[in-house]
Amino acid sequence: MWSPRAKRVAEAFRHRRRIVCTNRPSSSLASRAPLGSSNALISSTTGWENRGEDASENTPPILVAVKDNIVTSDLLTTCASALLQNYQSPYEAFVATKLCEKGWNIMGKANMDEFGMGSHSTNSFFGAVRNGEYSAGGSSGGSAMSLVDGQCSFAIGTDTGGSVRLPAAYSGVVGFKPSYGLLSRTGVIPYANSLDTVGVLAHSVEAAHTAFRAMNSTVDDNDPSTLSQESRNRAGQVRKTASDDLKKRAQHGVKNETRPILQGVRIGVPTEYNIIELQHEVRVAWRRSLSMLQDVGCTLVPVSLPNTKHALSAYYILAPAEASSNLAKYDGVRYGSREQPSDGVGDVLYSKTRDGFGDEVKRRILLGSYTLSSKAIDNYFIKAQKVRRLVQRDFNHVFSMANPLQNPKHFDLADMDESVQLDSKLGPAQVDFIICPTAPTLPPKLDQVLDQTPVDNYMNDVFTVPASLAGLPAISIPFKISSSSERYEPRVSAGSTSSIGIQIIGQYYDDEGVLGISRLFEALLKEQKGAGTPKGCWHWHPKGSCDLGPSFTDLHRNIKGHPVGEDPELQKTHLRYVATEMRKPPIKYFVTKNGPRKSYLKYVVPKPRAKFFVSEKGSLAGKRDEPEPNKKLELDGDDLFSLLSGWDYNVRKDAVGSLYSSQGGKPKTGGLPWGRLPPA
Amino acid sequence: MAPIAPRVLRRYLLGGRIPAGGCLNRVKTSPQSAAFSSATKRYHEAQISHPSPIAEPSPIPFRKQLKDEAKRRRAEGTNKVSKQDNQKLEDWELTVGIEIHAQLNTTRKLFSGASSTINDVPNTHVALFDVAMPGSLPKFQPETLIPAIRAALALDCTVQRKSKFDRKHYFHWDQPSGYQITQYYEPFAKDGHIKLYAHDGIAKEDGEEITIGIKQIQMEQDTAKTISEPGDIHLLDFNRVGLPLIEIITLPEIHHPSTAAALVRKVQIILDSVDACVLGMQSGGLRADVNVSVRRRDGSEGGHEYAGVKGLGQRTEIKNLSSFKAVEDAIIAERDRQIELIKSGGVIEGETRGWTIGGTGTKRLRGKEGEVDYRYMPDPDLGPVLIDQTVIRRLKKGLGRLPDEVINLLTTRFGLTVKDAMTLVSLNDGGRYEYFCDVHAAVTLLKTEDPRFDFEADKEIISRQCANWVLHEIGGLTHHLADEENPLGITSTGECIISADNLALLINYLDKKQITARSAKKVLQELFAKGIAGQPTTTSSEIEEAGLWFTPLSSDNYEGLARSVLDMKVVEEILAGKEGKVNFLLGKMMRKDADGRVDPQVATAALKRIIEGYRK
Repeated sequence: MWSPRAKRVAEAFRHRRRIVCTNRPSSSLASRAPLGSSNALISSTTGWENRGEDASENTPPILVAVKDNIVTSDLLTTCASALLQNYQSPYEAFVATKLCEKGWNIMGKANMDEFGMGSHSTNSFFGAVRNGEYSAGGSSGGSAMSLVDGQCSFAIGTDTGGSVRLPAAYSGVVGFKPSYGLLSRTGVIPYANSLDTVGVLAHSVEAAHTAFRAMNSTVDDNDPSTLSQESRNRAGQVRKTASDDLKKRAQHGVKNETRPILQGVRIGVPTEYNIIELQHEVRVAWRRSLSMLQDVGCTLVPVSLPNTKHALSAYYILAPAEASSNLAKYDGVRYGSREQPSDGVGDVLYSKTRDGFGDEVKRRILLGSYTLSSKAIDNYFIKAQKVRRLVQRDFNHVFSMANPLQNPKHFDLADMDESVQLDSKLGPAQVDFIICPTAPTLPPKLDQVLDQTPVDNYMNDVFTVPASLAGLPAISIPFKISSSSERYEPRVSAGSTSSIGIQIIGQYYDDEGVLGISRLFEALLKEQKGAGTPKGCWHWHPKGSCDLGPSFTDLHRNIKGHPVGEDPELQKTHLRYVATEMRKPPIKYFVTKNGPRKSYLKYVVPKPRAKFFVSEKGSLAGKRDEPEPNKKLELDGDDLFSLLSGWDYNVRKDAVGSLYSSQGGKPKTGGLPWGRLPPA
Repeated sequence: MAPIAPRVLRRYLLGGRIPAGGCLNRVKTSPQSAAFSSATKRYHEAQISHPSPIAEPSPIPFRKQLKDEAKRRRAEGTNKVSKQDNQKLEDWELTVGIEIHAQLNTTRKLFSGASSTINDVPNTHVALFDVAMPGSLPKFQPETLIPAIRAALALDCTVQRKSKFDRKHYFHWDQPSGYQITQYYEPFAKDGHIKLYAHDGIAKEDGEEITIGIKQIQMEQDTAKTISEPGDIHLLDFNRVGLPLIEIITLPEIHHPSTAAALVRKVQIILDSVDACVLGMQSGGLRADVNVSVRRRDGSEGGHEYAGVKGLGQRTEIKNLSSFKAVEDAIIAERDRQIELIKSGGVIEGETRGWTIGGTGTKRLRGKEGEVDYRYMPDPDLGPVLIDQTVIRRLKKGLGRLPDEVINLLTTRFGLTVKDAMTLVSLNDGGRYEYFCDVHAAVTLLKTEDPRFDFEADKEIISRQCANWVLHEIGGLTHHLADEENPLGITSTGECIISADNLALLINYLDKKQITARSAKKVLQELFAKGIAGQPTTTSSEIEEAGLWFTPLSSDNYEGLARSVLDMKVVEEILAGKEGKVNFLLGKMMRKDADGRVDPQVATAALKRIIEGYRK
């Protein structure tokens, strides 16, 4: 990873770090500030530490680290690549301008994987980012570590397939990836344009929220993939309908004085995410998080996202394809260098101009060039686009909020994967948020990472990629493993950090909702930490099997998604609640006139509530409520949907076809995160 | 036809033998003149070399030299099939499809707010995205759709409600991003057609008219302009990069070379007429690629299919043809090459070929193995373009008359010949036609003062008169200060140095015999000269000034004039029965009359009267 040449250049470069901000406290060209061992920054401004000594300043400056693929007009922007090691952008990224407008100071440019390609921030021309002896996660590892090192108040990263959430999980900070199309990409050097999202890393959800709001305060007209104000208004309407609905639901439950909002919130637990490879600690943390939420009134609902297993493969076809296109400009004419003096020597058509790229970048360019080539595009790129649609559809099936980018659609149950569990004969249950781990393992050791094959490296993104493909807002919250709970959670796997990333995913444009529940979840985590062993939680048995708490037993008794808590009082309430819910018509689903046969059954994801009902006698009544085509949400030029999906297809479940046949069978998935079910 | 520059003319005439220094200083057979000589040959497409007829010093007069040369050329020509007769082969069928690139007439680039210019200072109109600055994003400029949709409507295409942009990847220094944004999977217009008539210059085998289908029209970006300098230096002008182009792709339905050339010419005329295109083909605003394949007429069908047309032979593509002539010549050469190859047992390779102007054959640029895989990918930055029906309706309304419609109107309703109609439409970007309409309207208005005027009966006469003056009379005007390309300064909206009203007055005066034809031409020359000098003037004041109002001569005047030209020898001949000799005398009379006031009929009568007087 560290070629001697790269090392030399990196050393030379470190001495060139400059002070550039106009509002800097010290104007002398200071020598490089000690940057700690994490190697988190590629370039930085110094002198901030002296500012605190200035008596006239009451408030300390707010410092922000920005990932080095976001252009700034004063600091160099290198993308951690040799090719751009001296690149000074003539303009500033939209998000960077927004931060400066707030009066915040960009204190440095964070190290990363070259052009964002990597999961451990080791593929940098300036050397790997270090989280002690562990991986900092990637590709925004530098942003995460500069935060951990205390060099900044929050850090800006970019998330293409998990590049903000994964470092956040590995480094124990909050990492938020907003919905695609909210934050401007102007000035973000693209890796894969249809997936790239600017994200925030911070110590708390609140800080992340503040930074997100600052960057999202105005719409950038110059970014064609940014949602226009009109579209935002429309999407806001859809979100309002959904949150009104949630409020109504919450009222059915008990008013818990401390946290009423969580009452009635439905949390989806994707069964496919409980993979065999899931490290034990991670599964434990996931389970414990769920149980905490359940204790405060959330409803846990097992949901199925059957196309998740294809998401990672699709991502590693789509992202390199776009990357190969985006990096075509570094061809030795305007960027890069020519190794050989003359053009086209020997039998080679082109000069050797792209040697400056690192191995991973070269690998992905080749991969992308291949999957786009005329012989391979049908089998790879187009199939992957179809998979992307399927992944989006999976999420749309599951979320109770409609996707604001799409017209309301009817889904044919026959098109659904057989593994999807139905809530009733009318369709699967729907949820407000999905909660799953951010990464399947604890951070691996750096030397382990170096021994891994590229494909092993790619595996880290398995839980983050689906939300990226669907453009959904997702956040990683650190679940701290306190030393006091050690007796319940003896370490059985490698890994030294004391936190695990728990990911919360919401429907498109429900960023505020995701941040809202994250805040409450964060508060819960803090409270639990102080209170010792949480109530209603499972107990660890050294034998390796789990004694599921009563709440989980109840959950399984009430498979339809109306679990009962452990607390007898709460239990009663829940039963009451379930009873009320059951008496209410399940509303969203209906049967065609051909009868209630499964293959004819349809269910509707978006809203047309209360038009259908199950009559007292149990027979189905009501008429079919077809949404008027195109009336709601007429698509227009700035519509993002096609950007997210890239391709307009009538997707069916056989679309996946032969794409994965080479991978030898289905990935192993293992049902719910609590593993083996106890006897009922 | 545009005037030929004197330099070109000098090479063209007299075998390039006129030295710039004049005839008196002629140098004998200098190497330079030999070079001129070869240039001449190219100009004439004479492909057999022959020794220069005046290579040796000889006293033979120029005129004879020219005659001899022409004679020899004719003799050589008999051995060569003329292009006109080289359109169809008995045993082979040619199939051609064409892709035409035209630069759209817009103020902005396709994906940036930088303005589009043609001849501004290099690299002054460049946005960040145009030079692919890292992190810059495209911003589609909706106004570029206006000329594009106009072009699509003029070519009878269906404008798609939804279209998308794709990236086409290839490496070249004039392409800063490493890919061109184009519309590959979902173009904005599809399924059009273009009708070609005999007067458009199609091959006679295609009959009176032929319809060629248009598969699609797509929008795409132009590349940077390369300016080559001596010493292997290439300068790049990024003003051009990102300018909007349209690519028009026809179906492979053309079977004759001249029809292909006619199609390209017609597309240019149509694009001009709807103001969609910036420059003509000859100025580089239009480029064509042609796909050529052949198959035996009797034999089995070829195994290839292009754009849904089955049974074709393997095709080759000839890239970057920049003139109509090159299109036709390249197709003929490629057709003959393919046939020769098949006859000699070879196999046609799918390859890209090039053509140099004045060449005799196409040249292989790259074969299949060297073919660029463009790796088309939907552009992940750009959303779909949705075009509303109301926009299309609105643009359709404002489209105006297309050239075919105008020619039809001029020939059927106004009695012009197809040739005149075509000329009117094609000159000055349609400005000549506009000017004609203005003159026609003004003349008609003047005529209505006459109570006996009957519009329906007279309109054809008026049209022919106007056409004669607008095309031929003012076309012959020259002035040393006049612009070489467009001496009359006719704009595309029909403005002219000689105002339409002045010309109409002149035509009217002539028609009413208030001035003579000769005076009219004089006045026209004056109007032109004053116009160029920028002095305002009117027809009547010019006539007044020169005293050219026609006052009929009295019979005494006629007789006096007649007597002054009488030649007794001729008179005797006439009296002896050679009546035709009267005209000889009449001619003399006309020549004597400097003001052109002599009415030939009256003069003849006077002459005859006097001659009869001698018959005793």
